[in-house]
Order: sequence, then structure tokens, then C-alpha cells
Amino acid sequence: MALSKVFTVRYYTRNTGFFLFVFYFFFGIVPGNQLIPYHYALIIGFLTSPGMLLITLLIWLLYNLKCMAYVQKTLSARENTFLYATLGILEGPRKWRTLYWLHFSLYVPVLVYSLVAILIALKTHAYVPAIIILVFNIIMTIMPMRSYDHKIKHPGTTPFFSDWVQWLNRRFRKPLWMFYIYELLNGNVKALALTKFAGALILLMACSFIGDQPDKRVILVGLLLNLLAHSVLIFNHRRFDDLYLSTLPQLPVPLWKRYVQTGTTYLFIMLPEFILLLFKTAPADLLLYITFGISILMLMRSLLYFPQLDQDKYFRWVFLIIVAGLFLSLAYYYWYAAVLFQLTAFVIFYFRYYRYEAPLQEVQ
Amino acid sequence: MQSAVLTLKDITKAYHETVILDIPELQLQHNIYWLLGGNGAGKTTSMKVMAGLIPFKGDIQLENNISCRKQPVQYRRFVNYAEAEPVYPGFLTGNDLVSLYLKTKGDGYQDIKELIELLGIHTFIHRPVSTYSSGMLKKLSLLLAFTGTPKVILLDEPLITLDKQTVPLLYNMVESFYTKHGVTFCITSHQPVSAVSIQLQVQERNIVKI
Repeated sequence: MALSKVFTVRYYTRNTGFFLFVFYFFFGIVPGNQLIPYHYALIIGFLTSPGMLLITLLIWLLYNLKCMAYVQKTLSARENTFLYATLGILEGPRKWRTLYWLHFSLYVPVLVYSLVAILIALKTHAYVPAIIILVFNIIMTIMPMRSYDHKIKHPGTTPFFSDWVQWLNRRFRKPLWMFYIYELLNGNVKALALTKFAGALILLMACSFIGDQPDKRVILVGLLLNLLAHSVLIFNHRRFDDLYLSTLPQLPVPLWKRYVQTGTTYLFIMLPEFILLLFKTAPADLLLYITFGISILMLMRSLLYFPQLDQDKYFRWVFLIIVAGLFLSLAYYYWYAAVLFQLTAFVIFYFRYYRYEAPLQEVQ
Repeated sequence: MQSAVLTLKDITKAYHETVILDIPELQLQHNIYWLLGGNGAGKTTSMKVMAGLIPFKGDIQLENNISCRKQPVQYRRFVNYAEAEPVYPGFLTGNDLVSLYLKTKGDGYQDIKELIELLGIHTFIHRPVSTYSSGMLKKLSLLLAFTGTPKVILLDEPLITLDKQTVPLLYNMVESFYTKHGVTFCITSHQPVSAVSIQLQVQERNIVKI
């Protein structure tokens, strides 16, 4: 009972938002009378296509890793030290049964869906996918037990992942332009994922409007909306610099180099979008989209070197830039717009960088 | 008379309407300076101004030929600064930061590996700074202040959170850099770091020699 409270109940409570999202995606977007045919088609889809089956198994594997990470984290929490003195003294089948039940209770949503898929597979004589799903799930439920057992027997040890990260740290030094990307991937992954998801949808929609004769302006409108979604990440970039990199201006780095480093950061943040555009539009136009996109992001960042620019004022300026970009693009002045934005961004950066001081409320 | 290493001229620093610093003129010759002042007197602000880290009115000259305002990059090459309470992004390792400082400030007077060993940083340099204690973080920030070939090193409260074994090591590093490499130090602390140090005091928004 206590174990259920510590692991299972807390897991589902903490992940309510995640499960609501998944539930809505699977059951909310389809009318009630089409729910069964929808899921039947979905399951038949991955039972008959090896590619789809691979993607499905990959998603289940990711979910399993999420469960494992949660259990490891819970075992490491200071308030759960008592688990070592209770779970840690179990032996033999009782120990394995407890650990299996613990992981099973978290992984059960996948198991329920897998069971339905196996039954449909047997009914449609798709025996190979049925066996693959069965074996996969047996491995998924047994594999974590070993790592939990190791963790309980060796409290305080770092997991394999940490050792691997440390190994990587010894060989790879993070360049300055990667700092904010690391921050997004470490501490702000939700904001990044949301921005990328919304941004990709917008771009895909824009690409779907392209007719036989591609019009760059349609893509640029999509790109502008995508950049608008990224404006939150740019605003958070200033906060990150103010809080954690306040001594950076003390380094003897020329201003043009600092500017290029910031541009490189944004180029890499926008890389998924540019790769998408490479495949969806004429490759010859890619240079325009990169130049245009980076110039607008740089202008957004440069504006933030005015410390009095709070969130409200910043988004007003962002909106103005997007509208200006929109009109210039519609009038076929996109190259002029890119140069104009880039020049303005650099001039502001050049004159404001050393004059900028973080607002007190940011650093206190 | 010795020529000035650092000359502060008509310095004013204000937050909104409140003037924190008002220094008509201050010349610092080659020496070890010990900056005193009560809590909130403006010691850290003075250090940040001298480091060129925050905007201010007036100008600071290094050896009367490098202006903080007109040659910001050169000025920063020769003036190093260590914060009182250093903060870095948690995912960076000590090694990432050392590498960044070496890349921008250049090779130092003393081999960085020797300094890393001396301060005992080698045992945790590959770990992310989020796993450091405040003392470990302090050691790292002090190490970074000794990179490159500075003419001035500004140390803000260098002794807080340092363990007993490291304090004499820091004393020796300061002495050695001062005598062997001609580095001028300005240190804020509640205790003297060197016997030959000169006392400065923040008095009524001005810095005066005692």
C-alpha cells in the first residue's frame, strides 16, 4: 500500500496533464460512434506495416524509459531513504514480484493497448506482429527490474546514464553558442517542445498551401508565424544570460564575434524548421528563409538590450516586427526586409551591448 | 612616483535616482588593495564598475592608455574579475568554463593545469557545476580570475565559503602573481589578504585610500 502511494499514485498525479493530452489525442478528437473503427484502423495500420510497427514500439520504449526514470528518481529522493531499509531487505521471488508489480503499475496503459492489439492480430492471423508485440512487452516489463535492484543495493551510486554523460564531458567542451541550446534542452524542454510542435504545424500548413507555382511569400508568412512562436524563447534567452552568464561581458570578445555567436545559436535552434523547408520547398530558396528568419530573431534579441523593455513592451515590438515583415514580404521586398532587420539588429547590439545592465528584478 | 595601473575618472553609478558611486578621481598603483566598506556601501558595485561589467558614467584607464569605454575588448583582456557569489548554468562543467576563459583570455602566467591541481579542482572539473558545493564553485571562479595575462585582478569576497586548506593557497597565489608577474589586486574582504596591502574604503559613495 505504501509503495503504491509512493510510486503509482504519485506518478499518475504528477503526470495528469500528460495523460489528459494522450487521452484527448486518442479518444477526444474522434466522434463517439467512430471511436472503435478509428482505433481498429490505427491498430491494423501498425500490424500490417513494419515501419509503423517500429514507430509504435519506439514510442512504447520511450514511455518505458519515462517510467524507469521516474522510479530511479523516486528511489534517489531524500524523503524516500526508508525504501532502502524496506524494499532493500526483500529477497528471492518476493523481491522480484514486488519490483515487477511496481513497474507494471506504471507501464499498464501500454500493456492494455498492446493486449487489444495482440487480440486483433490473432483474429486477423497477423501472428508475427503479435509475437513481436508480446516479446517486446515482456522485455519492457522485465528489463527495468535489474536496474531497480541495482539501485536499491547500491544507494547513492550514479546511474549508467550519469557515467556516460561524465565520459562525454571529459571529451567534449561546450562552445559558447551552445549554452542556451543546452539550457533549453535541460531546463526548458517543455517550452522548446511546445514551440517546435506549434511551429512545425504552422510551417506544414503553409507548405500545404503551395500550388503548382510555388510562391515564396506563402512560406514566408508561415515562417513569420513560426518566428512569432519562437519569440518566447528569445525573451527567455535574456533571462538566462542575466541570471547565469552575468560575467560574460567581462570576457575580451569583440562585439562582432558575440553577435555571430548569438546568430549561430539561433541558426541551430531553427535547424529543424530549415530542414523541413529544405524538403518541402525549392532548395534554392532556403538561403532566403534562413537569412530572413535569423535576421528577425536577431532583431528580437537585440531589442532586449534595452533593459526597460519588459515582457509587455517586448511582445508589442515583436508584433510590430512581424507585421512589418509580413507587409514587406507580400510586396516582394523580402530580401530588403532581411537586410534591413539584420542591420538594425546589429546597430542596436553594437551600441547597447556594453550599456546593458540586467533589470534588478531579474537578478535578485 | 609609480605610474597608475588603474585610473578612475569622474565615475558615477546610479540605480534609478539613487547614486551609489561618485568618484571624482582615483589612481591605483601596482599593489595589493584591500577594499573596505559596510554592507551596501557599494563595494561590489565598485568592483563591477572596475571590471567593466556594468554601465557607468566617466571612464577608467588602464596604464593610462587603454580606456574601458573606448577599447572595451583590450581592457577586458587585462582586467579579470571573480564574483562574490558566482553563478553559472548548471549543465556546464568546470572544464567547459576553463576552456571558454582560456580561449578568450589566452594562456596564463602559470600553467592552468598546475593551478587546477593546486586548488584541488581536478577532482570535480568534469562534473556539471549543478553538483558543486558553494566552496567548489568559489574555487572555480577564483581559478577563472587567474586565467590569461591580466594586469589587474579584482576579487570580490574571495575568502567566503573557502575551506581552511585553500585560504593559504589563495594568499600564496595573490603574492606570487603580485611579485612575479606584476599583477595589481583589488580585493574586498573582511580580513587582510597580504601584509603589504593598502586599504581602500568606500566612504560616502567615493573610494578613498586610508
